[in-house]
Amino acid sequence: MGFKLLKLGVLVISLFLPFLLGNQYYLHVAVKMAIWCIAVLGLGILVGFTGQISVAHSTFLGIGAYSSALLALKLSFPFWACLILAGLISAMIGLLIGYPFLRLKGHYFAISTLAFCILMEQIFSNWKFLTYGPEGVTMGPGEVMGIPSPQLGHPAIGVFEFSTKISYYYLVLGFLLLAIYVMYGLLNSKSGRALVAMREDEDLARSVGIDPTKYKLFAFFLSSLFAGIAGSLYAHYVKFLSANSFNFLESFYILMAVIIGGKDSIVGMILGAILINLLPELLSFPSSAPMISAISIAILATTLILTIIFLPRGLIEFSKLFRGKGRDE
Amino acid sequence: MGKGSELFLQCLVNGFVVGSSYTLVALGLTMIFGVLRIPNFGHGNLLMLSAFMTLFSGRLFGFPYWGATLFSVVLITLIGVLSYFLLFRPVKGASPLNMLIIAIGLYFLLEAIAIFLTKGQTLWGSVPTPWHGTINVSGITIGIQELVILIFTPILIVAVYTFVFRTKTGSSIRAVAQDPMAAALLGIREDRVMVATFALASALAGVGGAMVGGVPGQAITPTMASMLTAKAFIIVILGGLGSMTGAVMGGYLIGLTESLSAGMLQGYLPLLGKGYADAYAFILLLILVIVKPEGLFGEK
Repeated sequence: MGFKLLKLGVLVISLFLPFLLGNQYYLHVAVKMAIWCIAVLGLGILVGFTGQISVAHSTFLGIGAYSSALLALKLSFPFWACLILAGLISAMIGLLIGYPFLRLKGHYFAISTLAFCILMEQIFSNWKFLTYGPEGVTMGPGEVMGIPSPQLGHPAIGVFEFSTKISYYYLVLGFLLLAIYVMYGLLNSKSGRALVAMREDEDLARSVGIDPTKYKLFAFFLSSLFAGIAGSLYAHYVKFLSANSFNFLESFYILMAVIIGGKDSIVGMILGAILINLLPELLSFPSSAPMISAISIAILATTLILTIIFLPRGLIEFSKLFRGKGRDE
Repeated sequence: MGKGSELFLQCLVNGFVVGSSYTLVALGLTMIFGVLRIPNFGHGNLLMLSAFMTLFSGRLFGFPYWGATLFSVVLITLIGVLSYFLLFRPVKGASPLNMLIIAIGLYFLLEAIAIFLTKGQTLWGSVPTPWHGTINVSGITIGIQELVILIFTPILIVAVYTFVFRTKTGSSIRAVAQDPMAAALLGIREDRVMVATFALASALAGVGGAMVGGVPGQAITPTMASMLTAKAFIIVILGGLGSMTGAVMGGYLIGLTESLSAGMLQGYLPLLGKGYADAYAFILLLILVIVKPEGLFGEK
């Protein structure tokens, strides 16, 4: 009961957040955080449901971001088409990669995704097609600039452009709520229960007719889809892409959010995403930029390690202290 | 000698130099994997930290290069052993997923220490060594520091092999790697084996950092080992997880592949340009996991 109230409270706060934050910069942090939450939930599907660690999640974010940006710049596709295609391209590549990888066990899977991530980073930063803008202007390697803002409506009846931070916040929040809705739907669906059964005991699940490979692929597909959509939202928000934003360290951070928050709980993962985004901001007052990154990296790493040692199910386990026994989902 | 063969030999030498640092990290990584059964993502960063320690101990205490190297190797060995006691030992028996996350935590901790030490400045240059200067042998240019790396790495590898295959501690490391349960039944103390393995692996990374840090033009930055870490993983997988020979062969193989393809094939195929030099190891791995998931030298 108390937990439900908390969720409702968080929802209300998130709806009115732009009015609570006086500062445009804070709003910018909130937008980035919300985009990040979608990506983190995507990885959560894979890690939470299948117990497999992917270190290529930022790559799918990158595939979504570059696809969306290039479709908009080179083919002048409208934002909504870019967004959907970005999600689908990312998800299809996820299927393609997932098919050979998901046959591998544990560490082999994790390291293969690491290889894929670095390979794609090389491609992002070396592919000439990407480095030239629509007017043939050369940017740095792997950089794309001048991505348009999303628009809604028709020229005949008027067009609304999501060019302000506040409008973009609500756009992203809409997608985040949709993502959360999809995740809850998944948890209560037949596929979701099959995934949970598989995670708990693969052999037993197989014996009742659940095909592990099929469901793992499905989880990987959804996970890449979420990342692709988050990538598209990111591209049309920051309007500038650089291959560095999608390296494997970014994947580590996304993974950290999932683990610190709690890989079995949607609320936990969102908590993790907020924590990781907020920490460098909270530290930005007392010291200089490199020190902030050193301190925040050290705090995050320590939190990660302590979480694994003392709360293997993530910080969300704290909430159990107040709720008695029983799982979140 | 023709120009083509000169270029080939130059690439060959460069490949062996690069391959040396890959090998030193991969060898430690594969040993830790053998006894701990996890890929230690933080391991490569020990090399980076060692380069820093060598630089700083030289500057702060005025140690000569050899002294600074010794100081740094001892310190890195201690850090490696400490990482076992503080991070990996408390989660003994945890799921592989959690162990992997701990290793990622170690990676970030070591990076944070490096940023902290340097206050974020990146313009540190290389470690000053007594050997700066180059020698020319029939058209091929080798830095003397690189020559030191070329000669010293195989000596280290032989020393490690001797230790692992000829001493009692070495055979207990192999026993634990082969079958932890049987090793425990025979009275082999696990902690002792772990300490020995972590110490040896960290010392290798430590020596590697001190040597690589001394190459003129090598920039010492907190992220200088991130690609190295990733490649060492690929090498360890290519060689078969836990296989020492696989790690050594794989390390030199990847170094040579990169150097030869970047130097020789450039201009023939668009995909093999210099920009993609870092990608070959990963392409190799992707092909391997599809064709032969147990590794080149690994057992089924």
